[in-house]
Amino acid sequence: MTDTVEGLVEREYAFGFHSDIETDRAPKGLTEETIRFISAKKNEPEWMLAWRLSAYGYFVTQSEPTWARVHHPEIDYQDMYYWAAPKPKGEAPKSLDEVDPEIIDTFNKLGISLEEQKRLSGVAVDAIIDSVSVATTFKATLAEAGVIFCSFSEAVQDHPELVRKYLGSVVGPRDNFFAALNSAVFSDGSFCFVPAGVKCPMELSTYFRINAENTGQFERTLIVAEEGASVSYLEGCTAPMRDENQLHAAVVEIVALDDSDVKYSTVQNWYPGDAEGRGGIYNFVTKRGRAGNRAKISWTQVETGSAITWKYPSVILAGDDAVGEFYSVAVTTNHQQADTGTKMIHIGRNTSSTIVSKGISAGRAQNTYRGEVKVMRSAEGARNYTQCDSLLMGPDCGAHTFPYVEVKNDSSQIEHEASTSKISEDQLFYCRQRGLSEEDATNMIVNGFCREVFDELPMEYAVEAQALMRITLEGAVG
Amino acid sequence: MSTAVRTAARIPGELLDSLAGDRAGESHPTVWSEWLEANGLPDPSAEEWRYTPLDEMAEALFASRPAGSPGIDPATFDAVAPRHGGVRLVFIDGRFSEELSDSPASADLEEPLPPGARVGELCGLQGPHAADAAELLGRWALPQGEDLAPNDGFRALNALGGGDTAVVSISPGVAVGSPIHILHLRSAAAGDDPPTLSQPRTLIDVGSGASCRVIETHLSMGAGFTNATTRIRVGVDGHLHHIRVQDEHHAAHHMGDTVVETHRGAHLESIAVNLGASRSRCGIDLALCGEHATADLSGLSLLSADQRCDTVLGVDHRVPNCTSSQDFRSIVDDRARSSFCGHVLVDHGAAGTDSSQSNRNLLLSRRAQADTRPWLEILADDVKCTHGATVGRIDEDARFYMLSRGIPAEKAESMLIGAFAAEVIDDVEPPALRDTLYARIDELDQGAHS
Repeated sequence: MTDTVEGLVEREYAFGFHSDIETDRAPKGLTEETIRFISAKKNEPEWMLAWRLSAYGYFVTQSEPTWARVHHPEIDYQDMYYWAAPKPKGEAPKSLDEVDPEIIDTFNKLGISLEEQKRLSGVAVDAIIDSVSVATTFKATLAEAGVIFCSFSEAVQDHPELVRKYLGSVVGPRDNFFAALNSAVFSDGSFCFVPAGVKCPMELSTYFRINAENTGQFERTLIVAEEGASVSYLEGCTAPMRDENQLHAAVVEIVALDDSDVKYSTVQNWYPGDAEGRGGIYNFVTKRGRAGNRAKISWTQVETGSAITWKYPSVILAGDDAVGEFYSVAVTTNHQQADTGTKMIHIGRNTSSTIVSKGISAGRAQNTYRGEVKVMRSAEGARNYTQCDSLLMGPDCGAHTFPYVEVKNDSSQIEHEASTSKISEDQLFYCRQRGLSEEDATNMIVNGFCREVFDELPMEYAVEAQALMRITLEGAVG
Repeated sequence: MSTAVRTAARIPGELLDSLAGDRAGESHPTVWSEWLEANGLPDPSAEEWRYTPLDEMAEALFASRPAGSPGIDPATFDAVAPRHGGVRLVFIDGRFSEELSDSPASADLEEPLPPGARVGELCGLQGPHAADAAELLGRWALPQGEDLAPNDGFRALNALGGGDTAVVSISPGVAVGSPIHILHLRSAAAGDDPPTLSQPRTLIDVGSGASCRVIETHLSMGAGFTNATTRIRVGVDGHLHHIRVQDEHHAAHHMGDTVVETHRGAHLESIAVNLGASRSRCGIDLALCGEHATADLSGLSLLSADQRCDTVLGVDHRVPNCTSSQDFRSIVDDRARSSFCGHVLVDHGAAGTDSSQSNRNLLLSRRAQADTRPWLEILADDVKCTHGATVGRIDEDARFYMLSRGIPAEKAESMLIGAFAAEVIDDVEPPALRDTLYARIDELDQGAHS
C-alpha cells in the first residue's frame, strides 16, 4: 500500500512540456498604458477601451479577497505580463495549413489533432494558445445554422452590437476583484451566439492553453442563447510544467433567454505544481449565467489541476420556472488547494436548482466546497437540492464544506446534505478478495463516487474524465 | 458584492467607565477596558458574525447602563419566575439575591443537595470548590488581553463589567438527582433611566465521574441588554445535562456565550431554547478535549413578530474517538428571521471522529426567513461526518393526509408543528418545563392563525 502511495506522489505531470513559440509581449506590469496597449493591439473600438478602463478604475480601488480557504504567497500584480501573442509569420492563417506548424504540433502532443477532430468527432474547436485564437473550425457548418462561434476579438470586430449588448450583463466589470482584473486586461476568449429557436448542430469546444512564462491568462467567454435556443459547450485545458506560479483569472458569462438551454462542461487540468507544492497555476475564475423564464443552465466540471482553484460557477434564476444545475468533481492531491462550489440565486417563481458536488482530497491537499443557495422573497415555490460528499485519502489532507443557505419565503423547499468519509476498508477488502488489485479497486470506488457527475458529461468528456481521475490519483490511496 | 466596508463598532468611553466604575474596589479592570477601547465590538463582516444583527445590538448596548439599585419585589418575582424543583439560585441584574434563592441546606427542598455538591455565588463558596471555580473563571471568563481574539468584544465586556458568578461545582463521584436551577433576571429601567444592562456569569464544573442536571434561565422585565457568559467543564467520565432557556422581554437584546470543554469519557447533553428577545445570539463553543467523550447538542428557536435569533455553534474535535451530534431546529413566524451556523472542526489526528449535524427550519409565514450554514472542516481522514439542513413549510402531503382523516386544518397544523419540535423538546426535563415549551408553541401557532 505504501509503495502505491509513493508511486502516486512521485507521479509526473503527464502534460508537462513547453513549446517554443516566439511571443509578442506587452511590458511587465499593469497600468492604464498596459490596457491601452492591449486594446490598441487588438484594434478595438473606443467603447471597448472605455469599458476596460472603467473596470481598471474599479480594480485599483479593491484589494484581493481573503475569505477563501486557500493560502499562497502574495501575488504581485505588477510583476507579470498582461499580453502575449504568438507572433504571426506573415498574414493571419486562412486555413489549418497556414497555421504555425509548431502550434499544430503542440496540439498534437496534447492529443487535440485539429484534422482528426475535424474529420472524426464533429466537434468545432476554437483553440487558444496564450492569448490569441489561432484556428477555428467548422465555422461554415455553424454559420449555416446561424450560430456564431468565434474568438472574442473577432466578435468585437464583426458583431460589436451583440458583444456590446451582452458583455458584462451577467458578470459586470465591477463584480469582484478578479472579474474586474479580467475585464480590464482580458486578451481573448470565445464568443458564442445561438439565435432564437436554433438547436446548435454540434457540441462547441475550446481548448485553453497557457504557454509563455510569466503570462497571466485572462480569457473572457460569452455565451448567448436566444429564446428557445440550445447549446452544449465544452471547455478543457492542460498546461505545460513550469516552476513559477501563473495567474489565471477567467470570466465566463452565460445569457440564457426564455426557454433556452445551455450546458457548459469543463475539464480543468492546469499544471498543479510539483510534489512539494512548488509552481502551479492559480485559477481564480468567475463563471455565472442568468436564466430567463423556463431557461436552463447546467454547469458540469471536473477539476483536477491547478495549484489553487477559486471558482464558483453560478446561476441567477431570474425567470419563472428557470432551472439551474451544478455537477462537480474536484480532486486535489499533493499540495493543491481548491475552494470551489456554486451559487444559486432564486428570483423567479417555481425555480429549481440541483447541486451535486464531489470532493476528493489526497496527500497534503485542502479541498473546500463553498456554496450559496439564496431564495429571494419573489421566488415562490423555489426548490433546491444540494448534496456534497467528500472523500479523504491519507491523514494529512483536509476536506471542508461551507454551505450558505438563505431563504426569504416559506413556500420554498431547500435541502442540503453533506458527508465526509474515507474509502472504507470493507469496500477495499471486498474488491481485493474478488481479485482486483488495490489500485483498480480504488479506481473503481472513486469512479463510483463520482458517477453522478460523470454521467452529466458529454460522452467524449466522460471518457477523458475517467482517465484523468486514474492518472491524477495513481497510487494516492493508502 | 457589497463594497461598503463595515468596521467594528467602538464602545463609547462613557459606557466603559460606568462598567469599570461598577466594580470599584475590585482588582483593576483596566486590561479589558483598554482592550475594548482598542478592539471594540466584533467586526460585522467576520464570518461568524455575518448573520448577527450587530448594528442594532450595538445600538441597544450603547444605550443601556447597569441597573442602579438592583431590586424587585418578591410578589412580582414569583409571578414571572418558574420553578423546576431542586435548588434555585437567583441573580438579579447580575447580582446574587440571597433573599430569593434557596439555601442548599434548606429543609424545604424536596431533595436536599448531597454533600460534595456546591452551588452558590463564587465569593460565598469555601474550600476546593471555590479554588477550582476561581481557576476556571480566571482561565475563561476573565481572559487576559492576549487570550482574546479580535472578535471577542462581548467576552471582554463581560469580563470588565460582569456581575457575581453563579457556580455549580460537583465533587468527583457525586450524583445529584434533582435539577439545579440558575435564574438570571434583568430588571426593567425605573422611570426615565436608560434601559438596563446586565452581564450574568455562570460556571458549571462537573468533577470526574460526577453527574448533574442544570437548568439556566435568562429572563428580563423590560427593554435593555443582557450579555451572558456560561463556562462549563465536564470532567473525566462526568455527565452533565444542561438546558439553557432564553425567554427575555420582547424588546430586549440578548448575547449568549457558552463555552464547554469535555474530558475523557465525558457525556454532555445540552439543549438551548430561544424564545424571547427582539435580537439575540446564542453562541456555543464546545471543545472535545479527551477521548471517547460524547456530546449531544440540540436547540430550538421559536420566533415571531420581527424577532431575530442567530445560533452560532462551534464543535472542535481535538482528540480521536469522540462522538458529537447536533440537532438544531427553528420555527419561524411573521417577519422573524432565524440564522444558524454550525461549524464542526476535526483537528489533525482526531481519527475515529463521528459527527452528525442537522439544522431544520420550519417557516410559518410568507415573510419569515431562515439562513443556515452547516460547516464542516476536516483535517483527519478516518472520520465519519455528515450534516444536513432543510428549510421549508409544513409538509403539504402530511397536512392533506390529516385533513382527509377528518382532522381540522388548525389542529392538523399544530400537530405537525408540535411533532417538528418534539424531537428536541422531548429530551427536556422536568416535564413541567417541557409542557411550558409546548404551550409556547401553541401560542405561536394560534398567533399564526389569528
